[in-house]
Amino acid sequence: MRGTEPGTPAAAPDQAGLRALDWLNFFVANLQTGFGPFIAVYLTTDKWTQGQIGVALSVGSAVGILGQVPAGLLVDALRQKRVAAAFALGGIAAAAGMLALWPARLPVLLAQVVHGFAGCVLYPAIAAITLNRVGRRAYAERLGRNARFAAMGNAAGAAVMGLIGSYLSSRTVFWFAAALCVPALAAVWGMPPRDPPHDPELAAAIEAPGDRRGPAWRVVLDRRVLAFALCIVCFHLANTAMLPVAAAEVTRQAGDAANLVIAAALVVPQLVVALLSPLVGRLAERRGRRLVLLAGFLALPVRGLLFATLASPALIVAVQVLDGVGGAVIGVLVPLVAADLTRGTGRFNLCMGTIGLAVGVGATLSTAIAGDLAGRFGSSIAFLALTLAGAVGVLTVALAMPETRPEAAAGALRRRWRPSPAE
Amino acid sequence: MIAVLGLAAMAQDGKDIGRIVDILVDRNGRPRAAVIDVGGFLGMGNRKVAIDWSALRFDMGKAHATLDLNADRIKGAPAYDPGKPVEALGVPAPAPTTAKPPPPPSALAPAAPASPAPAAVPAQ
Repeated sequence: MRGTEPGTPAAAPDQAGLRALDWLNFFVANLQTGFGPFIAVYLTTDKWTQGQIGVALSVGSAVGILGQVPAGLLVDALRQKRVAAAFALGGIAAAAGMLALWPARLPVLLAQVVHGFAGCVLYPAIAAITLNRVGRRAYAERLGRNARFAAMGNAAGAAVMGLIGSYLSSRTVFWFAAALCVPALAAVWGMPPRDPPHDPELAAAIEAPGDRRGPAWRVVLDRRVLAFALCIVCFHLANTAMLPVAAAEVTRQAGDAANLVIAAALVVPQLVVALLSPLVGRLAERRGRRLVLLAGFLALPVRGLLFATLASPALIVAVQVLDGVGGAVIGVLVPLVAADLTRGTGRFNLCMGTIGLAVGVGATLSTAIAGDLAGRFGSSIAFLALTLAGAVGVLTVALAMPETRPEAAAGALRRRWRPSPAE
Repeated sequence: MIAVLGLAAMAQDGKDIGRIVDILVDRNGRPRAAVIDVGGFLGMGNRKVAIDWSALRFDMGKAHATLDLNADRIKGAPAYDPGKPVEALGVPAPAPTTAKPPPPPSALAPAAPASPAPAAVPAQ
């Protein structure tokens, strides 16, 4: 899987570690789908008012955004990224348990803060663990595989949590989410210690000792990081509100079939991500990051236009395939470009945190603006605005985004590329 | 007495449609409408709609409120927006069954001797 000859001692022992990485991605995605949707329902049944619920959700969102950069700095500072992941998982389990046991004002706010920050730590930590295990040359492909397992975890989580929430209770959903942290922790802890990368000069240097880590400001203010962050803001500005606005329209118009249509609209993109992500990783490595990014960003204005003009709920599910295309590209390319841009600086997680901040800003603006437009002028206008944002995103990638694939690695690839073994 | 906030709401055709999340009262404190969070799956597609209070039925024995409206009409109601005037969906008034007013005498005069025209109540 790292271009080594099959059968060499270096290749065999890592199988267990990579299997564990698969399951880690699966279970983390699984347990994260348990949170967001169910908090509002759960607190409503616990007689919270809409205003109070809004505050609790906003606190969670705010921490999830503001905590990105500090979490990145923290994970960079830790030698063992697995420790960061383990603590984050423990935090999420504690937050879920607190929500299930004690839905009073202060404990819920505390749970939201803990969960928000743990999420900020967990996502870059997993990307860093992956980079450490497979090295740069195989990183793109491995990220594709991570995204595949995460998509399966999202789909499985949505199905199981949906059933539990419908037939049992929202409280049970949180207990189940807490329980899912156990296999996730087992996956993190069960990873055998990493063996030295086969090509040291191509491997990550992200666990650089303190004195060799580059200054933080140089990473955050790097023109290429800022350009990528801008592209990411545009992506989420266009993408985030599209499905919620479409789903509200489905509820309004589709009658009995509404829930089924929405469920399909949620599952289809996950299937697409699971199918496409490894291909996205391979393409990003062979043909470059810019091309893949352009393709993913192009899906946005197309999707916005289709949502604005189509009426039938069944067609909405078909259009959601484009959501999966965009999701696959973003899921693979964010950690990949972050790794490209921070090579040798020991600031991979800070870069991930900066991009995470961009994600949060774009997503929040998207929901606020599109929600307001949909309320005032109807969903078609909202979709057109999102289409415009998507078009701006495509332009930004075309004009401002640099190619970040390392040329030396690209040269080596042309000489020594071997197809990975079948997955 | 029944606690209303968070209570499940069922349409008159038996379909589960959502939860009551707020009550709108007039200046005298009389409930005028209920805000119901309808539809949605896993947090996607939820809408808040205002339903006229007279359309709600509460039953001590049941763990839900019943609405005198079909699920489709409820889910398709105008969205509730706290900043804007409320459009509460209500039960339509029953169709009038009382007679139409009798036609003016001049129209009846030529026919009166020939056939006994029905006086005022038109046949349904």
